[in-house]
Amino acid sequence: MENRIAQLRKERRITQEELADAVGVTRQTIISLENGRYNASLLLAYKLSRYFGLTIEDLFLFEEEEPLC
Amino acid sequence: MLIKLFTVSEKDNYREVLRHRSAIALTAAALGLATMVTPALLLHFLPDLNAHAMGYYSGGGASIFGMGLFAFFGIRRTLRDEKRLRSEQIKETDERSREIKRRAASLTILLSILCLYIGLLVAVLVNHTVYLTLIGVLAAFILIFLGSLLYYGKKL
Repeated sequence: MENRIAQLRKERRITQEELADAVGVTRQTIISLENGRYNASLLLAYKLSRYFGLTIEDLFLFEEEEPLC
Repeated sequence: MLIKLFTVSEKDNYREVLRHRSAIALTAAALGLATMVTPALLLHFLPDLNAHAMGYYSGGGASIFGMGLFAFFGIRRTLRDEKRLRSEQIKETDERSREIKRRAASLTILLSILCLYIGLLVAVLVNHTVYLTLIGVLAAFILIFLGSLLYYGKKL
């Protein structure tokens, strides 16, 4: 799932370390989220969107899956 | 590592978790010490006790005693330092790290089962006792797995 974490973080001049500390994860987790290698849990998605003052839908770009036939 | 994975969650009071863990570490150190002195007592009742068994008790006991003490003092150090406490909590409750450990544990189990299967195929041709031992291990694994499924089925 794509997200806007890196973009928003750079816009607001926040380091990965600061963001990680604010939401209670390691810097490696922020790196993986930004690279799209790891999908955040609902709890972490909520913490991140609250940190940026956005809704989860604004921060994480959900792609609709093809319905199963 | 696995103990840490299963004994702490983000919801827990980390300071309390560490206090419980330090009690476990002290208990482990006491058990290790008891295991270390067991050969001396056993020699009194079993004068023919072989050197390998004595070394096994002493070595195993000393390791557990050492690890228990090391963990106990490490936890105490963490409890006294707020910055270190926060950093350790983040390291232990970080969801990606926990996911990595879960996946590593799953892969380890899968490979262990594969090795067990190969071992059974070889043992059935070579040694009946080894074969029965491996069958026992497999049965224990399946029972524990089914028990865990039931437990988590009710818990989650």
